[in-house]
Formats: sequence, structure tokens, C-alpha cells
Amino acid sequence: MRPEVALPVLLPLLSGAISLLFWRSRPMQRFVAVVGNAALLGVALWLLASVSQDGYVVIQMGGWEAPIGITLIADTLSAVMVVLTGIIGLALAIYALASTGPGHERFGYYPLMHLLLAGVAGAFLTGDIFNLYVWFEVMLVASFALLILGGEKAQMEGAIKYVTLNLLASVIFLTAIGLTYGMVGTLNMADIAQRLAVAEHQGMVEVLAVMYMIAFGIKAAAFPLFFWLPASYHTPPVAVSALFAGLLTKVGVYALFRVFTLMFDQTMGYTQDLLLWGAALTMVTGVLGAAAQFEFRRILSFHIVSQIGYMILGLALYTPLAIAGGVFAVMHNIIVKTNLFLISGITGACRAPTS
Amino acid sequence: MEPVMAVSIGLMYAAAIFLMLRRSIVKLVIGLMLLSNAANLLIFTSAGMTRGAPPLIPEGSPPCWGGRRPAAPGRGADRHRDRLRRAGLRRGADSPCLRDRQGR
Repeated sequence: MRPEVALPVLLPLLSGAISLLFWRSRPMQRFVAVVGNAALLGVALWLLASVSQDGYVVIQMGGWEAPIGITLIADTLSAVMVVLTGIIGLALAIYALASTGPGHERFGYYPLMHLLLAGVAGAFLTGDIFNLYVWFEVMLVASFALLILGGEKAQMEGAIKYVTLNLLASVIFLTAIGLTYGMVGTLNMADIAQRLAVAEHQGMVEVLAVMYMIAFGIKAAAFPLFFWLPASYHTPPVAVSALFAGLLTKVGVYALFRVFTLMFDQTMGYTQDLLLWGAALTMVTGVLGAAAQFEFRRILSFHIVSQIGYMILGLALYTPLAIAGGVFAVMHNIIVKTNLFLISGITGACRAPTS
Repeated sequence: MEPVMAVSIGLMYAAAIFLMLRRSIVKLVIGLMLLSNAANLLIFTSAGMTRGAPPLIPEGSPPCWGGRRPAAPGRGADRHRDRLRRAGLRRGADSPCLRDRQGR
């Protein structure tokens, strides 16, 4: 029984529930936010310590055995991602204390932030592909609500584009999961990996690989599918922007890494070309788009796109060193991107101290 | 039944994407609803279409995951399995629990 694997998911859910209980008392919500995210960081560090001692840590949800039940597994990649989630969560809770207006706080900013963090931690820790879809949906619904909190016109316009493209990505992901289940009869990622390797219709396996690539590519803002990001990331308040920029696209990149190194090992000959070209074009179009903008957060939004291109290129080159480089880029980028968005917020506050 | 379902699910996806590309937000929302319904139907169909098989297995039988089973033994089961095999969705028909229970 290894509680440290389930706690990074349960703690933010608990903090969110407690925040909802204190709906009328904003000081208590702020207190719960900081304490809850500090506890999340502590649990994440405990998880990282366990993983570096044991290699990987596994628990089965509800006691159901492996291929039928849902597995929560933390290997070093997942543990590091959860630690970064904890760091970002704590930093943003502290930043949001100062920057969130009373209108936003009144309509549930803190519970939504906790639910978003729970979804992100769940996506990093799950070992079941349908459970990954579930955590993506938790993350997305929380981010939709955070995006439109405040109700300004720019936010609504950005939110429609964000919602539509992310729902499309979710449905493509769900379709791919349904077809995978039809082919191999199981939803556990490790079991799928074993069965796909010996599946008799390798052409169908390649179709599945491309479908997963499209779904996660939309979520990670890869080349032809990234236009929702610059349309929506500059509209919400700064703490929300920073949370999205640091975490949401990186969960998509993490899912790409997980699916393509675990399940689609043998089709990399065909999909590798697609990933290589996609990554290169993402890098180029991202910076070209950034060079055409004049507002701080729009420039940073396009910059996110180009950095995603670097990470996917690390995956597409598909040697151990390249994948390690891609993972290092993800880790680095989570912290730096959030920091840049927070700097943009402080810059805005310095220039216009009354707003 | 699967060809009918496959064609109709494909038509639903096509209609959903057509609606999503219209110039009206209401049609966009209706397209999204059709899209998610089509995805759900796809999941139900890919897990196998049977007639009234209860979700219970006898106690002590080996654990079988994702097994498709014909409704009753000898009722076109082999033709069914051949059709599955041709469609590339065969994996359930050979799962060990099926063999044990049907004796094939």
C-alpha cells in the first residue's frame, strides 16, 4: 500500500472540496489554497523520493487486479512531472493571493485551480489509457471555467476557440481509445503495449498511432493544430494564464511521450517522419508568429508553441539521448514559461498600478 | 449488424464535422454533441454487439478481459468470427475464456 502515488491526486481534490465549503469566506479559501498546494508539493517530493529508491511505484485502484482495474504508476518521469506541478501550484497560489480580483475569487477561482491541479496530477500518474482521457477531461473542464471567469469579451472569444478545438481533440482521443479497445480488448497501457506488438493488423496499429498523435498534438499545440493557443492564452487573468501555459500543453506533450515510447514502439518508422516534420514546422511557425506580435502575453503564447516543437523533436528523433533531452526541455519549460507569464503580470501591474 | 453501425457512425462523424464548420455557433454546438455521441457509439460497437449477454461469468472461470462472445453456441458463431477476423477486430474471439466455455 503506497499512499504517495494516490495522494498527489487526492490532495488537490480535497483542497478543492474544502475551498468549496468556504465559498463565502475568501480569506479561508486563500489559506486553503496555499496550505493545500504546499502539501501537494510535499507529497510530490515524497513520491519522488520513493521512486528514486524503488525505480517505480505501483498501486491498483480499488484493489482490482491489473488488466481490469485501474493502475496508478509513478516512474521517474511521472514523479518529476508531479513535483513540477506542485511547484507551479504553490507559486501560483501565492501569486494569486495578490493578483486575483474579488470578482474572480467570488466565483470559485480557488476550487477550480485545485481541480485543475488534480486533473494534471492524475494524468501524470495514471497507467490506464481511458483513465488518462478522464483526467484530461477533468483538466479541460476546470480550464474552461477558469478561462471565462470574469466574462470579458476577449475571454469569451478565446474560450470558444479553445473549447471547440480541445473538445475535438478529446473526441479524437476517445475514438482512438475505442478502436484500441476493439483491437486488443484491454485498456491498461502496459497490456496494450504487449498486445499491439503482436496484433495482426499492423496497418490498423499505424492508424491508431496517427490518431493518438493528432489528439495529443492538438492538446500540446503542435504544428497545424495550435491556433487555439495564441487565440486564448492572453485573455484570462495572469495567474490563470501562467497556470495554463506551464501545465496544460505539457500534459499533452507528456502523453505523446508516454504513448509513443510505450505503446507504438514498432511503428516509429512511419510516424517518426510525421513527428519530425510536425516538430520542425511547429518550431518555425511558432517563432514567426511570435515575431509578429506586439503584446507581451501574445508573444509568449506563440513562444510556447515553438518550445513545444523542441520537445516533440526530442521525441521524434527517438534515441535515448534525444528523448532525455526532450524530457529535460519539458521540465525546464514548465518552470520558465510560468515564470515568464508571471513576469508579464508584474510588468503590467508596475505600469498600471491601479488595475 | 456491425457494417450498419460502422456506416452510420461514419455518417454521424461526417455530419458532426460538417456542422462544426458552419458559420453559426449553435450549429457548432450541435456538431459537437453529434461528435461525442458518435464517439460513444463507436466505443459500444467496438466492444462487441451481442444480444442480451449478461455481464456475469460463472464463479471460478478464468479472468477474461474484453472477450466477445456469440449469443449462443452454434448460432452462426463461426461465420461471426470469420467476419470479425476479416475486419481485423478478432482479438476477442480467441480469448481463453471463450475457448473454455464454448469448448472450441
